[in-house]
Amino acid sequence: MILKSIKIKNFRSYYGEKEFTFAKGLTLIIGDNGDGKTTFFEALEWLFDTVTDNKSEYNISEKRKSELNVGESDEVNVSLVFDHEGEMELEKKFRFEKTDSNAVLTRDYKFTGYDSTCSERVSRDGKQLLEACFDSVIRKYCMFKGESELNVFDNNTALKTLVDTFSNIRQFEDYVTLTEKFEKDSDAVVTKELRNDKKQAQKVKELEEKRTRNAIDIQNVRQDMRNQEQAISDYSTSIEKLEQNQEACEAYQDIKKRIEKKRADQSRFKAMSTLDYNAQLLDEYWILRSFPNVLMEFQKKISALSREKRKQDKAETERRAIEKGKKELADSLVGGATPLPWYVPDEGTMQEMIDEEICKVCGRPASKGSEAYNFMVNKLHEFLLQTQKKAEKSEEEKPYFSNNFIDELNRLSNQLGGWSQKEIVKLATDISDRLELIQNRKRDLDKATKDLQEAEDEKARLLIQTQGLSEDMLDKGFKDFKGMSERKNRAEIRLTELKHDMEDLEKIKSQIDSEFDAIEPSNGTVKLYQRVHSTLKYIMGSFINAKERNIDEFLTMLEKETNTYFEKLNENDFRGEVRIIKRADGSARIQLYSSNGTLISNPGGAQRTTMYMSVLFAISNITTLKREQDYPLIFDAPTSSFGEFKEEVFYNIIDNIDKQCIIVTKDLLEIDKDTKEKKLNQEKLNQLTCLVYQIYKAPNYSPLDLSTIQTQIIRIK
Amino acid sequence: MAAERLYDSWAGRNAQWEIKYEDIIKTLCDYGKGESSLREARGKLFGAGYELYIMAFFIGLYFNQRKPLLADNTKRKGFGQPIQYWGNIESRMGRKAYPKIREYIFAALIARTDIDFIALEKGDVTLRKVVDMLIQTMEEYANCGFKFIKDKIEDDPNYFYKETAFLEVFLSFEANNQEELDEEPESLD
Amino acid sequence: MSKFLTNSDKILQAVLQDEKLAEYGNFNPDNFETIEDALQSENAIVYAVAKIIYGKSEGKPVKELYNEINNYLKENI
Repeated sequence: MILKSIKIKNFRSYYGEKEFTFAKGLTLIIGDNGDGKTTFFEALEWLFDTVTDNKSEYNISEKRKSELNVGESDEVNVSLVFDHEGEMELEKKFRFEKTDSNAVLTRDYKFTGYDSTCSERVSRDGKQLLEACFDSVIRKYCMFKGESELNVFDNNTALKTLVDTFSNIRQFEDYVTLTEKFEKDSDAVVTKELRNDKKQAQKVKELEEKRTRNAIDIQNVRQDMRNQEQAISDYSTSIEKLEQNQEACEAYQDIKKRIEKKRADQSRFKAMSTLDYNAQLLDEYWILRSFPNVLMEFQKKISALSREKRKQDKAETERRAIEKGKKELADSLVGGATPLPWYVPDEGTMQEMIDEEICKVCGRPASKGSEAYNFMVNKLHEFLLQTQKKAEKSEEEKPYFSNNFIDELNRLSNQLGGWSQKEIVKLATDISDRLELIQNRKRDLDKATKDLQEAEDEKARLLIQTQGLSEDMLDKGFKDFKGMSERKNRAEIRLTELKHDMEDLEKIKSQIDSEFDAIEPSNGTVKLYQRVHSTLKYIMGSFINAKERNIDEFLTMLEKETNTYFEKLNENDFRGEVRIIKRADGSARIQLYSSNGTLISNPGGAQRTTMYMSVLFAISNITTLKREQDYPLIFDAPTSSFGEFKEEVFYNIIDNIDKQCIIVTKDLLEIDKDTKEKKLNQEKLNQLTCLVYQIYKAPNYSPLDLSTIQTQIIRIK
Repeated sequence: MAAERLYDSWAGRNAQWEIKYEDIIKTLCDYGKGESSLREARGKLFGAGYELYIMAFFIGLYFNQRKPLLADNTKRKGFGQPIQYWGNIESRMGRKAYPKIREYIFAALIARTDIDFIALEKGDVTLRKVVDMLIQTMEEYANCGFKFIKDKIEDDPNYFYKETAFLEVFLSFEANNQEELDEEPESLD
Repeated sequence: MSKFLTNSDKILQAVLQDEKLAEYGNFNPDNFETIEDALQSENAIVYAVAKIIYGKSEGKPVKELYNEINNYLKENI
């Protein structure tokens, strides 16, 4: 069967109709995650689905859906043209009609095959055509999604299925079961007869009991062994997954640590470089940066004032002292205090006389207005004036400076001097230092932010590379690994113990059987039954052995074919081989051994992929031999990245293997770190000999609005 | 009655400013609604209005330029708080109290106002008159500062929203070197 | 010259190859290529094996097949 071309119409991101033509050898379809790679694969899966009639809305192109007006309709259609003893076509489609602003109705689901082997094109039921040309068993070994699916032996029934499908002899298992039953039934008959033999009854009874117990023991041990093998298998798968991603796990831990550190740095630097400058001006007195001069002015002024005050005060004190001296001299000349003139009565009497208008000195009346009256008034007046002058004189002894403001200012000047002054003077340098510090921390912050972004980008790239592993798994994987290894070891040890137990139990069983066989029955019939039983036992044994040999032969053949491809794919760079190991529980494992026979338990990602692909090519080859038909191999993103291999070499080799191969991949696509633009690596591209398509999302889309997304394809080569 | 201190007399007063600057004060400060701890949430640069006044004062002071206030009373306004409360922020939202600023302002006013202190000391001039003059100096420096601020805003309305805007203004004035200080020993009279 | 071998033929050949069986049954495996050959044999073991394989491939019920084999062996061992 050779695929010729496929048309995908309105299937998810494939808006409108897109067609891919396939090469006889390798066809590469290159795109990034989200561009439509996996959708291509899933379109094929949808086409090949013979189990359900899937007309789910989920598969309809959102863009097309959104364009339709109510009442309008279009179709989802995937059709494949291929050669299979004549040209065939397989088409699956359904219509969708817009019934509402947001709703569509689906109908007319059709799955049709077209057969052009005769001159006319005949239509058939799609399912039938598919099963006839590319049945589900074969498909299982032809289509692989993601790296994790490449290991065909990852489940326990895989080997049996493979053997059944591809080995020379089918259904051995069933014959083995049959002969085992015969042996058992025959044995039961013998035992029954022996029981009836009175002479031997006792012995038979004992042996039967032994046998029953032994059978139970064997059953238990067998179950235990199966449990342990399953556990080992599970751990191995997990460990394999972890190993595959060990590098990634370690890288993740690294990046995680870096991210944490950078975040902490960022916080720190941010705190150290933020400042409320306006608050600083006031709260930290930065506003006083240019104040020292003013302060000095103030201090000088106050100083001068103080001096002036002291000077004046001193001068005044001296003057007063002199004045006082003079006065005292004058006073002492007069002889003491100045009394009233003898002819002037005291103030009270005078006032009386004035009031009564009579002079009490000479007894004459002194009516108001008369000379005598005026004279009295004048005298009183003079007297009062004199008294006042005296009072004024003593008043003059009050202080010259009645206020102490200058002293207050002086105290303030002292207060603001000294240490406070030094602080203010220092402000200029303090501020400048602080600003410089902030600048530096700002630079540090910028760098930390940049580093953080780089680390986040790395993490994103890592997550893309290890598609299928969530960030959580990467984070924990590291820690799980050790635990899982230990558990696996313990299980393996336990298994070995159980195997020994089993051996012993089998020996006992044989012994019991021999004892049984040794019983000489009194009855000839029973002897006959014994012989029949013996025969059936031998026959059973031979079926079992034959079955095992068959499997071994198959595995040997598969191994040989695998290594042929393995060598080719490695371009003879790698010396070593793939071995397919059969396990007791009937499963198989693919393992890599170095040229000197040591197991390589951690083959790198690319090596592992190559190993599995070699097995798949080998199986494909075997299929071709068996069916006398070729089948294509279709891989969706089989590699995370080839790393140590050169993609162009690898793909060219596949191109030259005589198999049709379609690989959908991210390889050869590079993302520009700065512009985030995606483009193909031209250099490597030029070295490819195969057919190449590139798929990408049409520009100007909004990641959150599916209706803006559509996949575009270009044929590159 | 204990003698009143010159400083206290001055600090009990209220500074006035021209109404035409009220908008600026309202824009840049929490003025008008009472101080609130939501200053930052409002996006204001300063808390109480007097904080901007202090900025304006020092700007005028360092430029050493004064601008008399309009005589018309109706075109002038004061703050709700007398000077003695300026800088008394209870520590909140990362701010600190800065009470000493008042003393420095006072010192600057003393230095730059032409007062006959000797006359004051003698009692020939009233305390009240002297304080009036100090306040006048203060208002005139601040007035100049406000004009400066207003001009800058007219040029670029977002000028002061840059976090280092005010700082840069003050950095543009000369700081003083230690040497200058050491040059002038106090004369010993 | 190579005949077309059915699956049953292949099973037969594989089983008869077993050394232990050949020794027990005293026969030469190379003598029997197909089921038909074996069904014509007088060797009880060979015949029995062939009968089992043939019976199963024909879809004979297990119980019936068992009885057949059992009876045959009883007569011929």
